[in-house]
Amino acid sequence: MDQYKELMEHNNKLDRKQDIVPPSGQFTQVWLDNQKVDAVLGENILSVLFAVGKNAITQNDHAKVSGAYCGMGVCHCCNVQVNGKHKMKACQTLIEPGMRIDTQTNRLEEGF
Amino acid sequence: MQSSTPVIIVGAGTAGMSAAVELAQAGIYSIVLDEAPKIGGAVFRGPYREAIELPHLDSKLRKKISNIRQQYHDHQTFIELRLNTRVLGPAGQHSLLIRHKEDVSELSYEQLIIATGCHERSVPFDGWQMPGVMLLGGVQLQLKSGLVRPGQRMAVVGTGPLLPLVACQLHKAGVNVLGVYEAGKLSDFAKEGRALLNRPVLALEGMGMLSYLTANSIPMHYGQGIVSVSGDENINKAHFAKYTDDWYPIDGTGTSLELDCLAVGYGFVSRNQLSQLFQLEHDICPTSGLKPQVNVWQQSSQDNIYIAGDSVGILGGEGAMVEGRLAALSIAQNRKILTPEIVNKHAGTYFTLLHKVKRFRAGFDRIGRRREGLLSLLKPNTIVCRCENVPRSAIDDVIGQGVKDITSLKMRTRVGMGDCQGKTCNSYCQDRLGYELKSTDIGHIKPRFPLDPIPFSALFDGVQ
Amino acid sequence: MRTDMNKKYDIVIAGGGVIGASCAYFLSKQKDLKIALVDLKKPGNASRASAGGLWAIGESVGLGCGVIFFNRMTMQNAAATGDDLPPLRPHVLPDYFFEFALKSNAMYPALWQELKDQHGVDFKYEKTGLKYVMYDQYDKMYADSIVDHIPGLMDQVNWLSAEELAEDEPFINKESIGALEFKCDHQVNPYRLNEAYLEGARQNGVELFLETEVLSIEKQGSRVMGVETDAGFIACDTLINAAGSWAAQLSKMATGIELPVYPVKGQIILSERLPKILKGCVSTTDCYIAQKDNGEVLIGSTTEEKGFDTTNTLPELKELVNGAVKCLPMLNELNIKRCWAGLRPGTPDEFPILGEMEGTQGYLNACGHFRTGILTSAITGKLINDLYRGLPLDMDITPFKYARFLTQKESHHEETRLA
Repeated sequence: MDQYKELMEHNNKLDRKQDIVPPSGQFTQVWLDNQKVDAVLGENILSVLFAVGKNAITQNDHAKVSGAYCGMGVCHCCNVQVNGKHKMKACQTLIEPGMRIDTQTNRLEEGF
Repeated sequence: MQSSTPVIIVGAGTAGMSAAVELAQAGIYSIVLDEAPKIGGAVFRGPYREAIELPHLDSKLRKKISNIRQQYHDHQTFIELRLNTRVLGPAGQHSLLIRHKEDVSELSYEQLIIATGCHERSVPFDGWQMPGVMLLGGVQLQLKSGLVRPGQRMAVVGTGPLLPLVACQLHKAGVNVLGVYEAGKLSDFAKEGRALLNRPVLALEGMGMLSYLTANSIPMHYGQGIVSVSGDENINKAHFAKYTDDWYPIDGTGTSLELDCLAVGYGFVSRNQLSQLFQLEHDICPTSGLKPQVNVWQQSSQDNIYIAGDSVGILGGEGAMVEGRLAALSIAQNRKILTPEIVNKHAGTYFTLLHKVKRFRAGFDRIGRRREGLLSLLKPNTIVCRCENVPRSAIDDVIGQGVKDITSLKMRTRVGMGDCQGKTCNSYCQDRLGYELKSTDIGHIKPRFPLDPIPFSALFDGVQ
Repeated sequence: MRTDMNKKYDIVIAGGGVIGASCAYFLSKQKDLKIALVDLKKPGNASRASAGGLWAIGESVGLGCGVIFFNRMTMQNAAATGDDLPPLRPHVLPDYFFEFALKSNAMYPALWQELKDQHGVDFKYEKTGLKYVMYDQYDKMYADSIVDHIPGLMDQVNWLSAEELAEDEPFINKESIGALEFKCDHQVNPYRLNEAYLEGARQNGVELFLETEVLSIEKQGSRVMGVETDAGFIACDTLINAAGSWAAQLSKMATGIELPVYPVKGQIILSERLPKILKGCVSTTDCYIAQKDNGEVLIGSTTEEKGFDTTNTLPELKELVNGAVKCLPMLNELNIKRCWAGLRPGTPDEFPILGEMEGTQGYLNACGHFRTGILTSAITGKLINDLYRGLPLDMDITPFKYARFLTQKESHHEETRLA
């Protein structure tokens, strides 16, 4: 049963393909659009997104899709939903163990 | 005036940390705030996560990163670091409103040093808002701090000394770099040779980068630039062309590349939102955007607020280091901790270096001065303000109606009234209005308080 | 824009906020006068800072800003004395103020049409109504007391039970016990109202000297001859003081007397853009809330005497947030996009100062509108126009003339002034 679970988890996991050097340090896992990803404490959400090759991550208030542009918290184009909270900047939010990250969501579309 | 209250420094980059260290050397305490999780600023922050090897970053950079950390460690007793802390603006008469995670509080100051650095100038063109188009510095941050590749097949376009540097770093990081497109002409660089020789080491480094590109068959195109990008959800193609002297794309010279990420760099503008909220005096500068007025000691129009580094005017790391130290020396003299004689003695070398740095930068600024052709890169439906979804056609309309300044432009189109407070679109609006009205006296998009959105939950006391 | 040294104007209006702009518009309609308007937007300019409520009954019975202020004072008193005091009684204004407010209120539908159709600016007049939301018996007592004071306006009043309120405004805290609604209290976009008046005036021939500062007033004896500005000298026969929180400075230059107009700071919070979550404007004992035409929810306001300071301060922001989240709990999941502080032009009795001043010829007051500048801009513009032209006025403006300060003793509003 455990082997099966492990296999399922492995299949349901996103691979990091774009790391320049292999991640090292304190490992943890976060959920990215309901898929598990390995992450390292100290990273921000944007590095994890780039590591798995996700660029189109934000839906803005005008239903336009965008990706990180300035990378430093100025442009507001990398907003993602984190643990249910909207408009969190991926480039300035540090990952935390078990964090749920949802891309391309927008409060105006979701409503209340 | 003997005072023991810590000096508040906004920004833990080169300018801020240099100021903190210089103050520490005079026995003065400081509190340094930075929104990032590490000190060093965008340039010297280094990796966010642990890394043993950094093969894509040269040893000089790595040394500078560890130097700044070492300097801090050597003077820790006098420097209180508050990282992951954002300054939202002034609160009351002598305080800052700051936020650390869900905690919002007021921090009072007697003397303040603003060292908020710079952000990149954004130049819109057909397709610029598609995922995969990134600003050059943002790309560099992923390499240096994120330790990730932002794409697999990339090109670098724009103007300035950062283009070849980032191209080299991308290549060393394992990205397939298809070309570098510098709008400036090769002959322009030759003309500025004398200015560039003010900082011979930097000039030599530049040449080293160019050799690396040649050795790795990465073409360096001069006098060429972006025309448009295309793709589905992400970009998959970029279209370039030769540029005229005024940077208009020349028909019939178009080339295309298939890629998944484009790095665009047109220089930096000072990050002056905080200095503006303090209603300090500013001047307009075509290169750096709005520059706060400071005296030789980096003192602003309010004598207890100093400004140092790129947030005063883009001069790069050396300028930032010197200006931070000058501000610190002035405060030390102000507090009667150091005598004017000692201060002037230390300052002497700093002033000389600053002078050289300014002349070097002036050379690049002249080459990279934006030309009107960039304004033609937008189609009528190209979005200018992403936050408020304002296309170029809306701006064309109100210009046709005779709008005379940026505030009116803003009020009529909502450009600059969104979340980023115009930091992204101000550049185009200024260049466009300035060009149409043949004037620099057109104003700018003013920042609002707070500088960043605050969650209601961070201020709410009650139980839900 | 430089002035024309050789041109003489009939009227110069100093101040281009809603009051000055309205005066310019109404005076310009007949296109028979040479009018110039001089304006410099200073930090705290009330027209730009305003919520844009047209709360004729609401403000006249002390809701909106008033009740928040009184509630806070009650809490401060209770904290000081250790007693649990019931809130103070409502602060209902005199009948002549109701008249002023209601008459102005009634002008807006036609004004909206006029400025839209004839001058192309839409100030986003929205018929929202204003609901005073009640949480407990004290709030209900307050509401009962209000209703007792306005027997003649019962056709404009509507009681909503808790169920009715929940159905009408599903996002308001379900623990509220109901609301008292004023059906004729609506809202506009205050910035656009200001623009609309100015654009109408401009199209009618008024010359606008924007970004221009008044430096001094030239007089010959007791008669105003002209206005010296940083764009040159403007000769005129009549000067209208519509300088808002800066009216005292201007009156001193023009008449030698400093009007008792002083800045009353009000902090405001604006949320990010939201889908429509409020049908009507809302007033509670903690704050007022209005969703503006752009979807942003505006929350206000404090009442502070801090001179010309326009910074935001944490304790006050928290008070507003606590009040707003109590009323609209879902705000707790959202962001504050912007905060600011406006400077309302306050007067000792909270009424505007309109009309002539003895001792100076060629000078008219149109200032001191405190909390209801947006609402009463329409009638002020009309009254000033009619006064200037010697026409019969829509109402007696004696209670609003400066002369009242010379004969009145210090009013019972003295205790509202903080030390």
